Amino acid sequence: MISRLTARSGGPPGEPRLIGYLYVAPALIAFLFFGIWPFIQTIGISLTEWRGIGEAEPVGLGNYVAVLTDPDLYSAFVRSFVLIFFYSLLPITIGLLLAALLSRVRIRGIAGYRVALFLPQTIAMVVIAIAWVWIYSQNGIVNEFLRLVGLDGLTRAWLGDFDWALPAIGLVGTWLNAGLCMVLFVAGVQKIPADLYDAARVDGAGPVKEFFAVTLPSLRNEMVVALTLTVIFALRNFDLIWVSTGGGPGDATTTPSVLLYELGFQARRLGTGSAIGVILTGLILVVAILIVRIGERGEPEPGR
Amino acid sequence: MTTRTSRAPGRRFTALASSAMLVAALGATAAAPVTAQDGVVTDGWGDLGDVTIRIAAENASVDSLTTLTEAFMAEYPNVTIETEFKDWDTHIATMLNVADLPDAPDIIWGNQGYVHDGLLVEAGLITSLEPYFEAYGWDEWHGPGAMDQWRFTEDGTFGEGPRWGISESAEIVGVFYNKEKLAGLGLEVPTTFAEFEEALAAAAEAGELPIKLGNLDGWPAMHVLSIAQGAFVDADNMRAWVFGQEGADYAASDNLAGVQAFERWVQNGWISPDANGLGYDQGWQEFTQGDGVFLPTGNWMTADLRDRMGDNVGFFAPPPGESGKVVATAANSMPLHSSSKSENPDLAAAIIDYVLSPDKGQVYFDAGRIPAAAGSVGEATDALTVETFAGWNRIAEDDGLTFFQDWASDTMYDTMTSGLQELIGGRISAEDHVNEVQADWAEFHANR
Repeated sequence: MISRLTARSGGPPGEPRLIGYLYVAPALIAFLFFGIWPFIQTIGISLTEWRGIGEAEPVGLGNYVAVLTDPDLYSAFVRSFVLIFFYSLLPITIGLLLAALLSRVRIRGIAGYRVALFLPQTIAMVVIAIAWVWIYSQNGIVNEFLRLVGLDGLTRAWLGDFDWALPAIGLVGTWLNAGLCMVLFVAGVQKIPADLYDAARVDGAGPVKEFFAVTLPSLRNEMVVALTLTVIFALRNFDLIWVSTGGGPGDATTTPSVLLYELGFQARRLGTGSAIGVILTGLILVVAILIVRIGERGEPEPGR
Repeated sequence: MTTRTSRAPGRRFTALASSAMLVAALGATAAAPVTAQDGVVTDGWGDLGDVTIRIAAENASVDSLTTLTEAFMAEYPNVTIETEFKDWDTHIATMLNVADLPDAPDIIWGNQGYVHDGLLVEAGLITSLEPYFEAYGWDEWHGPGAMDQWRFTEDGTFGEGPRWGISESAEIVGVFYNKEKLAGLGLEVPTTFAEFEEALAAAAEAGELPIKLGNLDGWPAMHVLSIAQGAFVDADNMRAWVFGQEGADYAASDNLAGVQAFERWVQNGWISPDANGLGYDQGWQEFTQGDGVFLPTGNWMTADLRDRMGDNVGFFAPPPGESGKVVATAANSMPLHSSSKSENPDLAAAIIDYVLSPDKGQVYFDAGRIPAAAGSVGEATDALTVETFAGWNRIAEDDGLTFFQDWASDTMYDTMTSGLQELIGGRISAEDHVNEVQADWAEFHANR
């Protein structure tokens, strides 16, 4: 039996051996059981009216109709897209600059800086949220700094301000993700062949030209990874927002995942919550596929 | 055959309990527990043989419940009581599913409102305690209005139908104040709403922050608002609204007047200007450090404030408006329910009776809580709890409990919290707020 599994006599050459499936089985089973099955269940629940116990009443697509005609959901998605700017575009820009800097300039104790910049990634999100609540409070560091430089007029309780709460949370995401992007890009820079840089310099490229001609194009794959990770993070982020503002003030930081929690778990409208979850998952899938597709397009063929 | 109950000597025996004893005296099977009307057994636990009762409780009950269940087990060595305590969030999140288990605990801490007790009733997971109210005389422990919070009809109408639970302790929202600051303003503790507003104005005049509010979490504003509402609304009307009775209206003029008073406090700068950006915990901590004259919140803060401020903190119930009655956001703690899956519902009810009876009052005071049963024996060991207890007694006397308003619908918590943040931020008016809340209420009851 074992020999039959491991033998590669049968089948065309290059086809994976059956034993391969055995290797991936544990992960596959766990993924099906904890990833796919709950998602199928969620789709099932989203087609019902259910309080979490007792009978679920089938309502067809009723929850989707209700959710998709609710202006609250659209404003929640708009906030998610604002967060993409802060969670994704800004950190990638900062990460690129840091990577370009760290790879070019010799800085003493560079490892220490790299660790410091990456550190936020290693802290539990709840801790981060609580810390930033303090930083943004009326007597927090941000306002202390503004007072120090004479900008007393700008001080405010940032997370309690209807206009500033969302950008304030967004900047926490920027701080959080910049380190991740930097680590990805620094690793990417290190595998760029040195002769590319030499060639650029021989051609008379300065640091800026060198960055756009050599560094940036070579980091395409890393950028796709960074963009995918951070955009998904922005779209589904819950813990940071929930712990810091709970979606407030008013609805100023209510994103789809906050709405999902409020309706699905607090109000125990599990059907409605599940419908939001399915829509959110669908959107994330589409966005992720788009990013990867766009990233692949125009990529130089290997060996060319 | 023993007919002595575990309850305190001198405790009023109901007619039913007496008739139970009579049946026993007439020589019903000696070893069998005594059976009263409705098939309810109220005695004879020592003769049951080894029996285990399991309890799913919330952390606030740890001290009192542990003491009392141990005392019960000492009295009936054949009875084992196993209690599992969980923190509030975990308990609330898991309660329904725990109650739904085939081997659900016999006694379960619930929570008032549609999404907790309402669903427990609807799914048939708990039994009515009506027979035990009669058998043990629990009616004597609570005012009629207060007991409505344990009522649900089988089809989900809140505040009507049988009583499914009964609670340990009292929760009231009132006003904590900084004694030195109030004295510094040359003011006495306000006894009417008008005096309270005068005190707020005087504090602002003197450059003090009148009302400390940390409302980043959203819910604390509901409690500050309730102080203003209490001066204008009739407790019956507010309860009718919480229970969803037809015709009840949050936008009615009396309640609107309360919300407008709150709006005025905001506009006058009498409430922390950074309220929406200040966490509840940070807010009360700053109050203990001398920021703010008044801190309107619930008596759950008693121990923390006393520990940090010592004698410098006092408490008063919401000062009455023109009605002269104290009307407050006050309710009983999480109700104790008897599981419909319990094999020993009578014993479970006997334990509930034992744990809640007025002669156990001191156990609750020692745990820093206010026992809910009228005539509870014992006294608070610190001045602040004496004041909160006095406040509770006054509210109970005036039957002025209005419960927690977010019980009114499944989404009411979010509607009220975000609405009040917008009111504080000046985004909406008092009229907008009451209309939004009423719209949520109307939609919920139209679809129910």
